[in-house]
Amino acid sequence: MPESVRAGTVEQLRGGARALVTLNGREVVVFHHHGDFHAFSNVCLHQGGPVGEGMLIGKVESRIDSGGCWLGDRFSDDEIHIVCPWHGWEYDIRTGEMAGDRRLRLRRYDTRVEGEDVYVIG
Amino acid sequence: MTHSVEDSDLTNTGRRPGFDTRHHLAHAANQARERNYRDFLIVDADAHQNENESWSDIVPFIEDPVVRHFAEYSRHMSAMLFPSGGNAANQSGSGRLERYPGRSLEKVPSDIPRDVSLVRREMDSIGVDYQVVFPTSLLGLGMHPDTNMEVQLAWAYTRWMTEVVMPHEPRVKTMVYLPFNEPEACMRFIETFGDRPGVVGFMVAGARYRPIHHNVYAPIYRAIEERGKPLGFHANYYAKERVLEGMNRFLSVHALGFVLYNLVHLTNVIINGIPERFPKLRMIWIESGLAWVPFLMQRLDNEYMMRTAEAPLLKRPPSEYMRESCYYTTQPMESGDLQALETTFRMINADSQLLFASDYPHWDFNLPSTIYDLPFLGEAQKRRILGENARALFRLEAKTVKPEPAATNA
Repeated sequence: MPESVRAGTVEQLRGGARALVTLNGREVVVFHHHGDFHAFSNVCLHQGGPVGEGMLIGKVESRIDSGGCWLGDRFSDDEIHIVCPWHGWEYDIRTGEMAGDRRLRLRRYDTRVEGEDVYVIG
Repeated sequence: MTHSVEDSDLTNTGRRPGFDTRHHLAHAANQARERNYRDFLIVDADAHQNENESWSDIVPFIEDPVVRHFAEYSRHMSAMLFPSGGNAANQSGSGRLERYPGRSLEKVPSDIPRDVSLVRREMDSIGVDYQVVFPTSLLGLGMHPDTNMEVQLAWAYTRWMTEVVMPHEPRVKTMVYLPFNEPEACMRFIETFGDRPGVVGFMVAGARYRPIHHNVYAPIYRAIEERGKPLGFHANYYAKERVLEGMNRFLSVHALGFVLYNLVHLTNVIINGIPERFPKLRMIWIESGLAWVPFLMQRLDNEYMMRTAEAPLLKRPPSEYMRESCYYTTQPMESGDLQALETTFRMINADSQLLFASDYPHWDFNLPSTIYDLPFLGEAQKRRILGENARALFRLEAKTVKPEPAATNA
């Protein structure tokens, strides 16, 4: 039976809070985003920073026209990034993939909703 | 310890109220414990303070009354850089890096200088025994068109550091800023500050145009050589540099700008035979990372062999001087290709010439784990790069002096 730890209530996390819990001695951060709960290791793949404590911000994308001309940058409405507050490594909140190299990804943990509570499973 | 949202003070921006270096670097303290840095002498050869935050304490040390008057009406040192355009910067990654907007909010005890508390907290968290602390904005003075401004501000800063800050914390060291655009003034700096406690060398801010092999610098090199302390060239960029004018991103300007002037200066040093003329002068090339060094070694060696007449003082290929007379600091260490990095270590003779540097609190800082975790280094090599090379170069005590990192919560 895998260990699990309560991260908070559904309502709290849906309200925009994030939870930082310790599971099997490892820090795990839990988010709610677009109807789903996401739990990742709170240790950045770069130098070990507290990645889950950083800014949430839309992916910056460049707009390019059909002729290849740059029209400007904008924030994505669809892809939200977790930004490590130490050095700025950015990760997709849905997958934990590192934005600059999608082959790298944060360790992901499963979540489970029981009644009003959200649990992280180790 | 387990936190749930009921007792978490994280907001939906991920930020806690205020800022505390010890919390910000809690994971660094974890690394220090896991790797038992208490058993390692760790010397940080390049870290920084934000002297802008202490500007009002520095201003009274400015000697020139007119400059001091100007300074009294300038909110911070950066304002004094205006004729050179300063450095348009985005160090914080548009606010993504928490410590940039947060650090000025940090609460510290009022009975000691603010910088002492901040540096202690970061050293203790990272696991550093001794730290060489440099200024930040001041490093832009090499491009100031008023050469007296470089003299005046560097003088005031150095008096403040050595008379106000450093007496509180012997683990803090410094390399005296030399106003290289006024060579005669440099001699006064060397004579006045060179033997003060905690002064482990001298430093030239890299972004400047005057050729550093010019004869006017010979007395300076001789004086430093005789003192047996190293001379560092601390890299920085200059956003108005013509060759960088076309670069539209901070990333681009920083990536090239922090290497550019060290490339020029080191080339002039080697090709003009400074190591032959001042064989005991030890130079440190600071904060350019490492990848540029193998490039320059290969480039200069190739051209030198075809044009020895243009480098008549050299008796060997340039790369040999670069690995024997020069030291290099690690940060920001390019570690994406470990094979390339291992080759770089071999080419620069890292066992004796490489010095760990964090550059904390700047945006691209490195932790000791960037060296400790390298798979191609043995323990003896790690000890040399993390501390022993710097201990010998700076003549520091051999024992570790840092406390055990404080326990932190999740």
